[in-house]
Amino acid sequence: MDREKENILNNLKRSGPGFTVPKTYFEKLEDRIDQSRDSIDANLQEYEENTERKLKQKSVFTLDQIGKNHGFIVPDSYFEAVEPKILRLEKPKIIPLKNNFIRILSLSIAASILLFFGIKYMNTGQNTKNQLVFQDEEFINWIESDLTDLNSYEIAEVFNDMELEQSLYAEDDVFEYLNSVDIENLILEN
Amino acid sequence: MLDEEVLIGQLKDPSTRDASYRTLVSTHKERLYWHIRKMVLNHEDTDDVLQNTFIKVFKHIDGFKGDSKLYSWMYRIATNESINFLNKKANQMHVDMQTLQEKRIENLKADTYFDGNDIQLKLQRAIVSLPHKQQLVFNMRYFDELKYDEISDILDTSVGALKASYHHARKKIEAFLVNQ
Repeated sequence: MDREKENILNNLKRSGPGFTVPKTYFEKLEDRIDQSRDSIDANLQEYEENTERKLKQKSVFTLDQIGKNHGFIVPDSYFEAVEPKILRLEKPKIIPLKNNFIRILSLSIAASILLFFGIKYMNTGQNTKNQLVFQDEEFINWIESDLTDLNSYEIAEVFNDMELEQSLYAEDDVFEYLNSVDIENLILEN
Repeated sequence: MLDEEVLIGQLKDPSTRDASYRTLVSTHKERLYWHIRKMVLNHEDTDDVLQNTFIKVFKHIDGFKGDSKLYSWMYRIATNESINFLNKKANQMHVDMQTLQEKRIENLKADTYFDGNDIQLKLQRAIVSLPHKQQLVFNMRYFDELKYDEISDILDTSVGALKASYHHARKKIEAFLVNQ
């Protein structure tokens, strides 16, 4: 039985797999591959030409084509003129101010903010038993005593023990602010 | 060119300060101007930022420790001044930095001091479409032709990261130029 199976397999092996190809298939195959390759190359070339044409139509440029000219220009003789202007800045005209003035100014600003919020919150809502209630007479006395016109020094005196955080107003910002306003008006206003 | 260490010494010495300031301004004004101009875009604002940059340089030169090169330190000041300026403008206009830059690019069309053509304008649009640091890296490498180690010194970023950043910036700009 085993020998019979072996003979069948040997016969099959000898007769081959049974697949065939057309005559001269392998001779013509190379020509057909070459033709296909030429056709692919032609299509690719056509695609590249079309793309290039489309890019040109869209005015598309690569960085290398644009180059390094950014298009910015300066007024004539600008660099000659700017040099003395910069050198004049070397000694900026900063009005010398005593530290006390800056401190008082900072305190005045802080006091004004506190006063603003104080007034705002005192004016909201209905009076309750816990809130202060002023009599007319007290108001008249207050106004007659000229207490309505507190100046920044008096406000600063009230908040004498208050320390401002250094980061609240950077020194540069204070100088920039002082340079941008009229000092005389600032003093008069405060 | 005057040796940098000598110049720094002269800047810190009151007897030679004035002359060395002139040398400093004369040597660096143009490079700093163009660095600022490419960020700020218009001439008048660049002029203001340039002057503020030199004020900061004058003010802080005594504190300059020489950890980096003098011009890197000045470039860094100019960069910070430009960014601060743009941030202030954006805050004033209640817009973000990207919108502000796009508006400033559109203003270039009518700017007397911009004579670029449509392609150069498009390149500027492509640059402002990048994240801010990539803009800086691209401008410094492409237009200013600074070396990576010089940019590294200015932006305090590793050379490897800068190379990657420049590569990405270039790719994005090329894609912008083709697609937009």
